[in-house]
Amino acid sequence: MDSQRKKGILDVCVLAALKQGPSYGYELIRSVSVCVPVSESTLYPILKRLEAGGCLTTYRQEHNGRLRKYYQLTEAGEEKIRQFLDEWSEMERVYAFVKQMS
Amino acid sequence: MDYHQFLQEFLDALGPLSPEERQQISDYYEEFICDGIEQGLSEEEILSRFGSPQEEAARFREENPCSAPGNETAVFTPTGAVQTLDLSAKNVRITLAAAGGPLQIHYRYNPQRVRVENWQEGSVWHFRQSEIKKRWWHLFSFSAPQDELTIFLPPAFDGRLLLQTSNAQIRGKDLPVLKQLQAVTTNASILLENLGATTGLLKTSNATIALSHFSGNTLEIHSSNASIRMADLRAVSVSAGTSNGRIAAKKCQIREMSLSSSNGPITFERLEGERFDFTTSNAPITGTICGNAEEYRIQTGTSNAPCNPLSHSAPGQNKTLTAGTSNAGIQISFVGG
Repeated sequence: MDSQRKKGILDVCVLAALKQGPSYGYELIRSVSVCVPVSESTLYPILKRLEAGGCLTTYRQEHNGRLRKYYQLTEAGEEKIRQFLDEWSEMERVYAFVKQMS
Repeated sequence: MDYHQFLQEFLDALGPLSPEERQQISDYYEEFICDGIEQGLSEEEILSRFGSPQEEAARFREENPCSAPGNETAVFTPTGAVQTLDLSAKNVRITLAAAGGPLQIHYRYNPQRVRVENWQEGSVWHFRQSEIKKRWWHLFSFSAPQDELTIFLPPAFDGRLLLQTSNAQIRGKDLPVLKQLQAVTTNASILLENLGATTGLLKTSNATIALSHFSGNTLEIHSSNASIRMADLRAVSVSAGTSNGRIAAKKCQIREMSLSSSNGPITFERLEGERFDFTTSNAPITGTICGNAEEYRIQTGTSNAPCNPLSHSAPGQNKTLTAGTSNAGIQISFVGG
């Protein structure tokens, strides 16, 4: 997949992966990669951007003698998921159009 | 190579970074490596994912344009006295901030991706940002990497601010009193607090507008599919409209106030004024007005739900209250000032 396109879609995949509850980096890569393969360097800016945009919050919690960073979905993040799902029906029409024309 | 050594070489290969960001990136990678080891992988297996430290650093820089060197904050200052700032940008978050110094724009951007032009015509300062490369992923508006622009306003600035951006927030706090404020964006919220403008226009779509501690003359607020929240407003006339979203107003002194939504409730608390017009559908209108009900010519209407007060008028009334909705109740009460 084109790398920019992947980035856009990954944002919402990361948010969706947090829907079931807070998670940490390693686990996020594993759960998102089920759908789109993602690497550490790709995930980093996504997490930063989503945090800066208020879509997720972070906290640290002790795990095996170290502090692991956890990411938690916010109300704004849930709203983004809903927005994506709403926009998707529009994208489906675009997709159908492009497919039909080519 | 053990992972400490790997991290060290990787960070060095990233190039200049703020100490804070360097630490963040280091923590981030270290955590992955520790979690991988806990999952039963060997250090070599994990590190082999990345290739060499330099390869990973190159990938990281490519994926993280904001962390890459080359993105610097540029400071723009006008050449002479400014009465009007006319700014238009795309996908740029705009922050308005009070400044002790002169009027300035600080903009952090990548000159390879974005072009900035600014020039002055008399007392009008024009600032145009445009993208050199179109980025298709704005289709998913929220996923675009956002540039940040801050406008510093000296306390004596009392001119006009005409701001236009898209897909990004406009926000500001503790600002001087302007002649005109126009803040227009799309798909992102507008959050303003403690400011004044003789005329104001706030406009977005699909996102909230929140305004508090505002004083001015006329004010127009438009959004869609999202809420509008107003608190502590003083103005002659305010008109606020959205769709599919709530409108809430609290402690406002406004001579003429018109709030309209559809499918979203209108709620208000302690409003003072002479003409109120509330319109929505499929949602209730509830709230309190400071004053005496006898002074208002009241026109209210809904369907399939209770309505209080009912329409009535008497000679000599010069204030008006109009409220209309459907399929939901109207409950407005008058309270002592």
